[in-house]
Amino acid sequence: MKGVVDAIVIGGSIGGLVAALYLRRAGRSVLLLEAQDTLGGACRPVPPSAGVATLFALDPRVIDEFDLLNRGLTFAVRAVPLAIPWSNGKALLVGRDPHQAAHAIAVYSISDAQNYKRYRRELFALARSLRPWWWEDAPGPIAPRNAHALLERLEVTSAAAYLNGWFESDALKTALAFDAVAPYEPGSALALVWRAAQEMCGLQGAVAIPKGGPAAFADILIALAKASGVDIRTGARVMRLILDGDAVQGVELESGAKVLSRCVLSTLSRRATLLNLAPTASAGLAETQRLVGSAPSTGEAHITLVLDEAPDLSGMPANARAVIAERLDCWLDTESSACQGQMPDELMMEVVIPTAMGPELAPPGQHVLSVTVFGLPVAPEERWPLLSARLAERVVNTLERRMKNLRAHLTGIYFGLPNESRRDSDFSVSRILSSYSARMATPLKGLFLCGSAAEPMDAVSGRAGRLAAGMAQRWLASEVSP
Amino acid sequence: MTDVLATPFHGPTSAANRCNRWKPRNGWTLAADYGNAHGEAIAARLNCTVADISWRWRIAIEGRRAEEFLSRLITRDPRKLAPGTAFKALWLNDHGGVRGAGLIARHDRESFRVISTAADHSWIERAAALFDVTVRDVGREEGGLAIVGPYARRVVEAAGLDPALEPLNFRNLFWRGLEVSLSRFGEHGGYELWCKADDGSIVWDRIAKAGTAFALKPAGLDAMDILDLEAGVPRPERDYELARDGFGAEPSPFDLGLESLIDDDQKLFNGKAALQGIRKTKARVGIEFDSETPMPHMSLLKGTEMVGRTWSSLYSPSLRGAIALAQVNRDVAAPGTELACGGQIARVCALPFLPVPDSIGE
Repeated sequence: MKGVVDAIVIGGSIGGLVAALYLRRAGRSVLLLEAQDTLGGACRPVPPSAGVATLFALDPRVIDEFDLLNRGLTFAVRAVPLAIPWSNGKALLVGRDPHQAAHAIAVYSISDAQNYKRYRRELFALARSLRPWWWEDAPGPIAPRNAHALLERLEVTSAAAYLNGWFESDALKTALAFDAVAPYEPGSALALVWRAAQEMCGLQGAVAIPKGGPAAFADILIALAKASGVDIRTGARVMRLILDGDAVQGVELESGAKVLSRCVLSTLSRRATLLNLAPTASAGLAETQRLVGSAPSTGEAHITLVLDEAPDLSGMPANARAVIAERLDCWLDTESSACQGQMPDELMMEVVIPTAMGPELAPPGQHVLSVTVFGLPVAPEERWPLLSARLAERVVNTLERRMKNLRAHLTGIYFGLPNESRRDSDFSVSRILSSYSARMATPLKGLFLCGSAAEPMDAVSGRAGRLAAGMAQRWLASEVSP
Repeated sequence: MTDVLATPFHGPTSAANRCNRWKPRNGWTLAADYGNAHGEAIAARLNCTVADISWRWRIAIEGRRAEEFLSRLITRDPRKLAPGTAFKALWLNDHGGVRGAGLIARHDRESFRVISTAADHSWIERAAALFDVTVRDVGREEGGLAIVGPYARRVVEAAGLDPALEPLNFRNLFWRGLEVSLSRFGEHGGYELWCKADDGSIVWDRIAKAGTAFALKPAGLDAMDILDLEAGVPRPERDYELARDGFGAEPSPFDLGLESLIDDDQKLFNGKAALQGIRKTKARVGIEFDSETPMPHMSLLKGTEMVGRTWSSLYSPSLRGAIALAQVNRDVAAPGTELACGGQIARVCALPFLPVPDSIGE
């Protein structure tokens, strides 16, 4: 390309698409570069690939400001209930209605049923008061006076300890702990609050499924980006950033082509961007050492199973998301094994049946089971492609305990393996407590992060993309045009 | 517990150190003085002296990407260094705090030496690892002698070494069976002679013998410290605390008066971005006192307002008065400004207090 574009966006995930759209709307020329052949990041169609099946953290303002509801975005399910299927064919269902949920929980524990309503009230109230901070680029947590003490307590409390304080039933605690991702890490109780601070389809803390799956949502953004004039190139892997001193001047592609730009937004993690794309230590010697030392050890894998019969998981409703874990303390073993590069003994899985909610997701007669396995080692001793067959075997074995003859109906498996380049580190309180500008800005001038690594927690959100675009826009406005 | 090491010249220096006064520095044991520190300091200005400088922290930086690494680490561009030359530079942490100051010498295309008064091994070694560059402490492999004074050139010549050398240059030589390196790095004029640790006694004896005709005297640490202060050279740990955290912004090069060691055209070095945001509020100045030598690190007052602080202070035998280095607010840094320090008058003066004496025979 001749000349200099205003902004280059590295990566065509939701964060990158949203950032490109906002910059384009501000009248900037935007070039979006995606290394893969398809856009959408984790929101790829399942099958033929594997990605997220549910959305829980979309920024409602992105939907609103681009009028996505009138551009074809509809939700197949607005609030997916949480289910815990047992191997005895029964399932505990925790839905959105706290009374019904309490009713279901009462089968296991009367006191838990009573506490569940209070737990939800406390969590949702704190989440609402922290929402401005997690939704905007505010310098620090703003909480009402009476919530400060609770916030200070949660900063040092693990989700497991917090849930242990509320409930006695291990099943309920295990299921709720899934929202914290690393429930034994100090401060992970805040991850529960962060989940509760999200809003889907106008419902606080809901998990939703768009019609056609998350890929349909990505498709709407892609179509909008193309229509608004974002220059999109797929199969264009960025090899390095072009720097002048500490200011970003553009990128060099794998093909050797150089594209100059006034600023660059990266959907990759801070580590991947600054360690792999920027010249050695250009982020600063101490910062680079910190990044080298903070490699994430755990990640999650997405596995899509294609079946020729509608799956029935221990009688759980087909429109629920099922969490499969034996006990709460299995998380502890999982985290410690993953840190040592080992496969955990127990797999922590979340299972959704997208075809039960949108049959159009698969050809007629086919059904899809979307599995997310948490707490897997990012860099196992055996390399990932080798280990994936073993992982699939174990996933199928675990599911078969709750679903007879799964193996007989299995026709295809797709993998989305733990990916280091999208994450910066394992769960840390400092990430969830820092401001957006701290997560988005880099030591290099004109380089901003807009991917899920710039969010307080890993999620398909678009919020970082929206805020990073604002940051880039301010940078472009302040910079004297060359 | 830190090591207390004997320098390669410990044998001859202990023979000369009749009063048996020793001082530790950077883990090495060195003669504090050889009887009369003031006399040694004056000899270094009028005649010539030899001092053991093996206590200086010295590392070799070697590797294919050594030049790239140094250009990221230090505040000046090592690409401008030809083999056999050196410059002074700083290295900063990410937020622009001074982590170290020293001399960077280029041996060949992929090999450099860093000589500094304060060690910063872990910072440089860990940073070098990012560039696959090796860092080797050569402090125990080599010793160094400084030959200081107007007659230093004559002594070097008499010892059979070619003294033709520009300042901030060095040359590796084969000196009657010994591998040595002759340099002119010092702030006080004169030469430095670097040798293998095992050759220390021979080198000392040869220099001592060559210096007999010029009344060459050994000078201890105290005399060298007097020279340092008279030359206005601030020393980390004695005068100021270095930034020991990778992310602290103190002390800034501007506050230490070391901004001349930063090249404006050096595009990207560690801490450069942060420097642009640092306000220049303080300056390094000299202070002269009319009466007795104050304690180090005293407050300097202008009226009743505190405007700065002295660093180290001592009696200068050449100036016959008490002098100190100080860090003061820029508005009182003009020479001649009178401040108060511990009840006595402290006069701001320009640095250095004394120029380097002319070399005889050049």
